[in-house]
Amino acid sequence: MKVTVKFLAIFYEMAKTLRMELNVPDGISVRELLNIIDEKVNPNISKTLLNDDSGLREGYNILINGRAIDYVKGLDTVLKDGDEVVLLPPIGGG
Amino acid sequence: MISSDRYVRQLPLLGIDGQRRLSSSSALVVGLGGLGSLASMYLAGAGVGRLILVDFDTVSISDLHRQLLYTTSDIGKSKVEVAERRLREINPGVKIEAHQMVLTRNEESEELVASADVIVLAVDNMKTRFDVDELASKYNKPIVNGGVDGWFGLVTTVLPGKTPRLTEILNIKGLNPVSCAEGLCNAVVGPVVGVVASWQALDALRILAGLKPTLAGKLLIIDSSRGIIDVLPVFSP
Repeated sequence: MKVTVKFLAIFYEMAKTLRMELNVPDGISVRELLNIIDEKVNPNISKTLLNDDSGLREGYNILINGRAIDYVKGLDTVLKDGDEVVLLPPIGGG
Repeated sequence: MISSDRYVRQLPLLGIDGQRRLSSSSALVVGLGGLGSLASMYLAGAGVGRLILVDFDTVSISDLHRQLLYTTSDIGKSKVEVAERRLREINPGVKIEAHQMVLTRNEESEELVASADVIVLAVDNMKTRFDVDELASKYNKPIVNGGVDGWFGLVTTVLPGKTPRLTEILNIKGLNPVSCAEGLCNAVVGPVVGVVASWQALDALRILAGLKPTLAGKLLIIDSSRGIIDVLPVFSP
């Protein structure tokens, strides 16, 4: 299946592209997608996004079709063909 | 009373009804740093009836490259007190209230939120965003949230019952209440703050004037180092 990944802010700097379409195995989770992104794009992406307990770092965010993954099933959320996944760092200064 | 000379250039866009709505409305600006100081200038200039300013901090020399409401002679002074005076000079017709405090979940904060028609959320920490999101949800008040970090900016507008809450969009649950006041300041350049603050003021004005906000249910991400602006739709699960 195909999923689209958007790399915003610092993730753009890591991926050197704003948007990428990836062919991935059917039914993979967000966590498995991050492994694929590490292999195909930049191995530092999941290190930046995830903490030592393999959860999302504070303030970092992943949106699936516009939904924060914390409000779906977190990193275990299963993706489907055509999904759009957005990687976002904290942008919280005032 | 509306001075038509003062507002003549925006009246064709807002209409007389929109201008009247503005002049009878209240905006709560939470945070008078980079975003809030600039946004409040636009809100005062546009003729919002009542501007409620909340910030606990004083002006520092490191604020002055982007917080253009303040000048060198203001260093060490209360931000809300300086802002109150300057904004009154910008538009004497606006009623301005200054509250030197941290907005949190207490009775005083609840009264301020309950009395506002829109909240411009312009703070540097996630704890206050979380608290404001809770109070805004309780009192059914729209929030226009902004954030900046480096060359990046973010704006989103939350309409209670119509869009996801801020906590559903920004992953701000359970975050530590760290802020610039605790020495954790991010790097930032003035014009990026200006873009984000301007858009916050824009959506706040549109809400108050009875127009559809531009970023309700959308997340605007600005990468000013590459000239990229992305607008992502956000949905509730």
